[in-house]
Amino acid sequence: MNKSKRRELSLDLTLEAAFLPVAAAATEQTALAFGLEKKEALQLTLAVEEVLNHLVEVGSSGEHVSLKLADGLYYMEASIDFPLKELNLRAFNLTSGVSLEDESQLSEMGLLIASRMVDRLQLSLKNNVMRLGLYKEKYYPEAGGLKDIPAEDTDQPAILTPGPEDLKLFCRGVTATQPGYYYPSFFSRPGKFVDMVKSGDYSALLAYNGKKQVLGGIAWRQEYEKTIECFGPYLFRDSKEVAGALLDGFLEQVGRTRAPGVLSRWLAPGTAIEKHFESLGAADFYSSGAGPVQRAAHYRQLCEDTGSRVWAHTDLAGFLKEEYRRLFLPREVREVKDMGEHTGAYSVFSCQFDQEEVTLIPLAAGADAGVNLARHLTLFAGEGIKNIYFELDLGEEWHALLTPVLVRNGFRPCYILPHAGKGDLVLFQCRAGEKK
Amino acid sequence: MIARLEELVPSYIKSFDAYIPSKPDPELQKLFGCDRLYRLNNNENPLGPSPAAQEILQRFSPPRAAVYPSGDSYYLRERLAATHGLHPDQILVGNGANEVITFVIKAFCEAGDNIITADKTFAVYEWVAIFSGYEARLTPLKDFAFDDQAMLERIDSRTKILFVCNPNNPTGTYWNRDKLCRFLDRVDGRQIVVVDEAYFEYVEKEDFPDGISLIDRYPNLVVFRTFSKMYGLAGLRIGYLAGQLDVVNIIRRACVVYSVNTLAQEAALLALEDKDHINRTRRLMREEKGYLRRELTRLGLPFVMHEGNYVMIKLPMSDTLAYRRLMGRGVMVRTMTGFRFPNYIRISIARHEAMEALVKGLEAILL
Repeated sequence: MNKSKRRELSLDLTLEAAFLPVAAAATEQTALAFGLEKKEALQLTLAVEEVLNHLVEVGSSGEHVSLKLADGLYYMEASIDFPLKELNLRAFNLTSGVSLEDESQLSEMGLLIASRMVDRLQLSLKNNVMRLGLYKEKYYPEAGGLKDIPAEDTDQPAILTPGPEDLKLFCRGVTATQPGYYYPSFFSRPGKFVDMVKSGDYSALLAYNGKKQVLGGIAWRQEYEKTIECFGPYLFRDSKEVAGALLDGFLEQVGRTRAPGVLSRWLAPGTAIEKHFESLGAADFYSSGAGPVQRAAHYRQLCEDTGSRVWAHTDLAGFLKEEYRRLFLPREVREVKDMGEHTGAYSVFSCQFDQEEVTLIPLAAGADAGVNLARHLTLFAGEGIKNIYFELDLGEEWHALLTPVLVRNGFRPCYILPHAGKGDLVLFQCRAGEKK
Repeated sequence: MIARLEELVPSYIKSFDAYIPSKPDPELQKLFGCDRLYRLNNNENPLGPSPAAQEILQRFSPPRAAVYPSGDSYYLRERLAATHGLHPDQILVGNGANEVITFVIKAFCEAGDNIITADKTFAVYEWVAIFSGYEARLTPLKDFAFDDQAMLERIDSRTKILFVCNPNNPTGTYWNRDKLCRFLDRVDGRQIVVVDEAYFEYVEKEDFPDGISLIDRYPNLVVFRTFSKMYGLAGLRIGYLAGQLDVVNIIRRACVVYSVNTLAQEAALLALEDKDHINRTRRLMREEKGYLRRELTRLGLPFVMHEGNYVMIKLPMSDTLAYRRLMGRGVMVRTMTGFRFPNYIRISIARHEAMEALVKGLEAILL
């Protein structure tokens, strides 16, 4: 689906309480028109209401916000654009107003309620406009795993772009043959995956034997100019040949896109990808009811790396230099240090929730960064979220200065994600729980 | 910042990413920590320009830089026309072959049209079409060569141009004269057929066709040549196209004049005269291809070595990782993932010292 042809509804609203029912009604009716079930439509409506109400409380009367409702085929997006001012900067933290002394107040917070009503909440800042994206996924039924896995085949597999029925079969093969924490949840809902591919957000290639039976496949998500995230290859039976053929086919498709690279974080251990990918490292992942598993990250660069400069706090420089040496990545590591210069009062962190994990992304520097981060961690602990990550962009000088704040709050660097932000990203994981 | 900049941008530009060329050598050497750099990535002539062309570069009088060049490379076109037995107006000179690709696409395509080429070939045909808003239809190579039948099958009423890279970059395979003529016969003048002969002078095979000699017979044929490869003038950016007069007169309407500088025109004129330089270069290619063939066989690395001054090598590792590791050893290669050949690298054949550095580098990274 061409994104420029997405179905959309936009509203420009003056920021006052009287308009909240208008926005809520528009959201609900549009959600139903886009095909959300009643329950999901009401959840998204509540989220939009809570966010707008929050803005009414913290914003200046008479300001304008824009609400855009868009149909992503398998999800609906409600995005709210709001001009940023220093005075209301703090209010964009999920924890704004949370009292550390009284955790019962956590459930009272508008942004927090909004985040729990939707599948994904994303905060971004561009040209002094803050954008809150609320994403609600449509309902799709779960499907059982595939029972008849094709027998091994010594023929060279054919790598083809599948139709919808084979995509569904692939999903069911994945859920039948892989542990749940090695594939994203959309594989459990094949109809959803078909729509994800149809939307243009995702792509897939499958491997077929001589009898046209599916042997496995690979899926990926690509946004222009961004690192591609790939899922798999998932093989119904172990086969280096099939894995290699799928990876070659995949790389032939994405090689000329000028995406800087491919990141693979969803892959069963032992899958033969060493000829195509480099190991970045691993992070722990705690799934509900089970102990931690290592989720390895692999990377494939698509372009020729011509080197760049990265900004690093002294505390992180050693880790970076060692990792860059190991990965043969040409980087000039420029060390930065806080020398008492003025920063704004309030920091802002964006929280990207995805099922059992949350990733924090810094949006604004502020003197309260340490306290703010601690409040977020308290909030996540209250929500029972164990997988807490933080992405530090080495292309941003001010990000580097957050390193001591992260370390003090129990975060440790896991690995570098080359070219994944303005510069390389470093993924930190919160280990604070382990110390306790 | 222009308000709502995104709204000004056509959709085909929004979905197209800018090409980022590599940094200058001193910057790369600093980043990769190498004392010297063997550039084996751009298929340049390791012997440089011919001595005659070098002399004209040295003799160039600086005050002439203030004067515009001949806007349509007048003397060079006369000389090329005499060489090929054409009228000077059958030739258009551009700022490298990349510019003449743009001339042809702009001259013949409009919204809704398409061009056809191979999926694994020189990328600029595809890129220019896409960022100009036209569809690029890509056919898979067959045994590392352009698949004539597949290209013919993709033609429809909106197909305007078929691009054939002969010999193909990066595989070095070629269509012989019979095959090219059969293809042109089947197209039967319904579309423009561009035969890009950037590496023409490197090919010594007897059945390799001289596309320009076929222009009389096929009015829809346009042939590209360049001074960047065999003639060693890549830094001056100069290439040309040839075709029948009425076709070239159409292309001329989309041609930017004054884009080729004085030095390039004069150096190209003299380079054409120097047949010895071509022979010396060909001899070097034969010798170093032989050396590389032996060494790659010894290392157990599969390779694709045909015509042209380049070789593709398949590695048991990511080509982009190999690039970084070889750069650390002062050897710059071309990664082939972007050519849709994952885990291949392309090597330009160069002087023996550079080839030895490459082999040593490969040995080290494969350990």
